[in-house]
Order: sequence, then C-alpha cells, then structure tokens
Amino acid sequence: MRDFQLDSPVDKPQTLQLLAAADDDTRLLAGGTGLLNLLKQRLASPGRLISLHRVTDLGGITLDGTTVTIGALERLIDIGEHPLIGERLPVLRDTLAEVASPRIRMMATLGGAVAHGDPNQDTPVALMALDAIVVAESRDGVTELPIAGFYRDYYETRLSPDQLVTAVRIPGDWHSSRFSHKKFTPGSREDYACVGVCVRLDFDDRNRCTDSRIVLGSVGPTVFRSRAAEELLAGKAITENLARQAAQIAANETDPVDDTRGSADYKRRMAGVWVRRCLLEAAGP
Amino acid sequence: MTAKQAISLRVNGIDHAIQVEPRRLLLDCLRDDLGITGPKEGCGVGVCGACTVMVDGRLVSACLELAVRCDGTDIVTVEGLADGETLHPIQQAFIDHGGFQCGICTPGMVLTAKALLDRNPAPSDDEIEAWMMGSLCRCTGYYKIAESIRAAGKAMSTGTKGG
Repeated sequence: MRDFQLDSPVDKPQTLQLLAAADDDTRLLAGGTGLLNLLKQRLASPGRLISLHRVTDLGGITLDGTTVTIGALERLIDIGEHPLIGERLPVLRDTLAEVASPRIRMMATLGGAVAHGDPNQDTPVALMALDAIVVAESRDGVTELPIAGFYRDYYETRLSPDQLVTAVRIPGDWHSSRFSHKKFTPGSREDYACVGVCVRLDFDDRNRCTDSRIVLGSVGPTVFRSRAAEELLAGKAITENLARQAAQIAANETDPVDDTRGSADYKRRMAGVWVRRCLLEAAGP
Repeated sequence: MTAKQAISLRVNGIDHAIQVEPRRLLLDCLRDDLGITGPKEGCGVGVCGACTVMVDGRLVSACLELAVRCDGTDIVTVEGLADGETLHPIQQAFIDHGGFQCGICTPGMVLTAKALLDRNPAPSDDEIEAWMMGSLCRCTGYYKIAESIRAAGKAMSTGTKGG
C-alpha cells in the first residue's frame, strides 16, 4: 500500500469542509472493506484519505410517514437487524443477510456500499428495486439522486468530488408490492454474486402488472434496471411465457466479464434464468 | 514518508501507546509492533477470517483496518479470552471436541464464535453455518468446529466449563 495522508473529521460539517478543499487525489474511507482492498492491491493510490471513523452524526434509521431514512454510516449488519427494516423492507433485510460474512457486515457501511460503485455489491440491487434515493451533501447544499441513475461505470457514480453521501432514503409503502431476489453464487456463499437479481411487481385487482422493477447486479459495469423488460410486463398478467421473454430481454442487456464466478456467456445465461425465476416467484401465489 | 501518528490501543486489557504510519494495518501493528500473534494473515482481503479481532465489541478483519483508525479503542484478540490459566469455555470446547487441526484459523474461529454466542447462546446448526461462513478452515474440519461451538454455547449457558 502506498503512503497517504489521513484526515479524521469528527462530524459532517468538518467532513464537508475537508471535501470542499480536496483535490481529485483524495478519497473518502468509511468501513474500509472496499477501498482498503483497492489500496492494498494498488488499484487505487490516493495521496490523501478522509476517514469517517470518528464521524458520529451520520447514523440513524428513522421512519417519517412512509419514508425510511438510513444514515450513511450505519453498518450493514445493524440495518439488517433493525426492526423497522424487517417490518417495512424485508427484501432489504434479506439482501443484507447475504452480503459477504457477518464480520464484513459489521465493518461495511451503507454509504460505502452505495458510493463505492462496485457493480458486484448486493445492496444497490435491492435499493434500486425499492426506488431508493441517495442523499448527497456538499457545502453548496443537499442533492437527492435517485439510485436508478446514480451509477455511470465501474466504480463511477454521479457524485461530484465535494459531495458526501449522508443518507439513503426509501420513500413509499411497499406492503402490497411483491418482491423476489436471488444472489446466485456458484462458489462459496460469502463470495460476490455471479449474478444478483431483485424484482418488484405491483398488480391491479385483475392481477395485471401495473409497475415493475427488474434489477441486475454483477453482470455489467453498473447495477442496472432492465427498463425494456419492465415495459414488456406493463398491463399484462405474468405468465411463464411472458417471464421467459422478459428474462431474455434482460439477459441481452447484460455486459458481464469472465472471472472466477463464470464466463461472460455463462453469467448472461444465468441472468436470464434468475430473472425468469424471480419474476415467477414474485408473481406466484 | 508521512509522519507517524501517536495512537493508544487497549489490547486485551493492556494499554499501548505507539507511533504508526497512517497506512499501517491493524494486523501488522498487532503482530509486529506489539508482538500479539494470535491474529494471522491468511487471504489479506477480508475473506478468510484468520486475522479476526474484536474492536469495541465488533468483529473486524485486521487485514482491512488501519491501526490509526483504532486509536482509543478496546481490542480483544484470542490471547485475551482466557482468565489466567483457565481457558475461555469456547477455547476449552475447541480442545475437547477437536475443533481444530493445523490451528491457523483457530484464533479467528474462536473470536467469531464468541461474537455469535454473545448474541445468541443457543444457535441452531443453520445459524452457526451462516455466522461462521466468513471463517475458512483449509483443513476442512467444519463439523468439529460446529460441534465445538454448540458445546461451548451449552457450557456458557449453564456456567460450566466447556466439554
């Protein structure tokens, strides 16, 4: 690991002040499970880190009306075990239970998982199916960025260099929505997914699909929604045949790479398999 | 080289005041600066669990944490579990039930099991499997490790010694 300077602000205002003065050789360090791996392998070598380990005012999990707000420095394990998340967002609870190992979930933060921009992260897949909002702040003010448009490329987001993710906001009441998700790991369970899928379906009283989200992770430069597959479902009942067509559309939109979790071709095929299965499970009895 | 920073760590109840570079990993600090060799370097990427320590009650991969970020914290390694000559019930259970072979993974296994049993004294087999997934044993002695954890949970609940 290359040498670096390390600043340790104690609260949000100090952090924003440091960020305002930072150049592009500066990176934020939250739980460390993502960035420290990149530093150790010299895939990143910033000259300066702003470590958030002393920051105490970016936590909390709250409910306001139907909106759940989760502070950026909440640890993944604490979010998954919080009663509010279990009651209102079980798909997020279940997704978090499959992230790496309990030890890593004790270290990793939600803000880090979102801002790292790693397409292999599980958490953004569920957050995108929930239409989550990334709350970013700089000294110029607060910006709310829908997570569906948040990612640009591998490890690249729409955050500007002076912006700090302060919270993730999940508006909406999802009690009548149907969810299904799958983290497919052909190797060991704590590994990154070969393909990750989260599906949300809403139905009218005649069982026709009124709205949907079909989100895929680990099979492209970013976590993404297959909007073409979602459009195919609009106004229709979810049949085996329709699910197969939507899954094919989604699979065609993937752009995976060969690695130890499978060849690009295998991942693309598995994306189709798991989108189809998730759609049928979400639509099922 | 960036100037060293003065930090204080309480490790297994003993206070240490040391100077470290910002890039010093907690693992290297414990092993090379303080001579505490319970935590091992296995994979170096947070997957295998051999470097597991507890920092302020949380499990941490010491290979993915900076020592300077642990300034002022209370750290427990496997060396800190025994009470004098009396082993912790989890350590005793690992001995009594053959929960190790080569022993490299054992410090991390024992600490990870402690975090589990502190939260849930009577975990099911599925809960043990799900919790311990981040601790790899390359001798593959997982049945004996799970058996040791079940026994330790019973011993800790009844206040008897492990076994």
